[in-house]
Amino acid sequence: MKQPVAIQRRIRLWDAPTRLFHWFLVGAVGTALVTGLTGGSAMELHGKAGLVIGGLLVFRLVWGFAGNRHARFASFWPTPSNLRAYLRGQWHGVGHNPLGALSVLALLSLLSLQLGTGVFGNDEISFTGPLAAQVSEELSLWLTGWHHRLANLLYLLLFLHVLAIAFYRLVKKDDLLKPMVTGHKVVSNERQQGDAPPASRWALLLALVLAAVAVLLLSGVLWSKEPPSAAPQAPTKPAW
Amino acid sequence: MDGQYNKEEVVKASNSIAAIANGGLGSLFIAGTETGKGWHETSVKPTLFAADSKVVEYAAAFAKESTELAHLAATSDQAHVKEQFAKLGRTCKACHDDYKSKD
Repeated sequence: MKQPVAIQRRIRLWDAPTRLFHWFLVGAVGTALVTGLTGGSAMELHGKAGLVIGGLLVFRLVWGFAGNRHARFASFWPTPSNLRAYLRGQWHGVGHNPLGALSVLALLSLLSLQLGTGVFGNDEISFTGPLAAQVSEELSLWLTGWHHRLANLLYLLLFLHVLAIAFYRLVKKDDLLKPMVTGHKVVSNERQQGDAPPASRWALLLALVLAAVAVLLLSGVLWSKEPPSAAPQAPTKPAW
Repeated sequence: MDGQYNKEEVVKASNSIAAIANGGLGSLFIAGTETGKGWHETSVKPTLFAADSKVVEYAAAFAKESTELAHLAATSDQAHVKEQFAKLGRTCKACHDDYKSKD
């Protein structure tokens, strides 16, 4: 292996939408974790945090196709061969490395599952997910069971996520946190790729509109089967 | 769900809860029913029936808070009812957390 080239340059890595997505997600997932563990009347806020997460996930999905280069799934999609190359130290890209990309995709998938199970779930006390009325009670409880089990996996992944950032920082001397805040990263010239030109404004608009539509659909306001204020109908009783 | 606060409905509902809570809830948890297969498998954990079970304490808390809710529903305003409802919810959760199987 040759010595790393001394010349360094500062590149634009994460665009503003990607960074904002990330930090809003941190806030929303943090809120969902705390309120979910607290339960009771905190479930109201848990549901709202879930809807925000839904909007963010759809935004990121669109951004994964229409965003700037480093935000696109195609640019960091992990394959067995680039994973091997990375583990042998032969990967010199910028952006998500193949292992990090696995983590990104795992977190996004798991959060999608939590969203998908949570909107149909209920806490068997007084909270129901916004779409719980659309499915049978049995299915709602089954999905809630998975929502709880998968939460444990989420804790694990979030722990690994933070641990990996600390490991890169302390052992590999690579600060992953700062680029996620400022958007810039200093890289050696040895690295391929560089500045990512910003995505078009139309792409941003599209992502925002689709995210808003997702929140609207998930919130259930469009398809409530019965008016929410309707009192449970007492069965008509015979006169005696 | 967001909706209008309907005092009459809230009174009815909290009276129902208080009636259930104060109506011999223990008769629904006869020792031995933890193996029940009835119309679906029971979700009660066997520990509810153990000697050190806190279910008596939990049931008493449930009865107390639901009685208070029924009282407030009839006599007080939405803010107080909401606060008491959260309190009542915690008594539900305490017992579910300990004695209701999640699977």
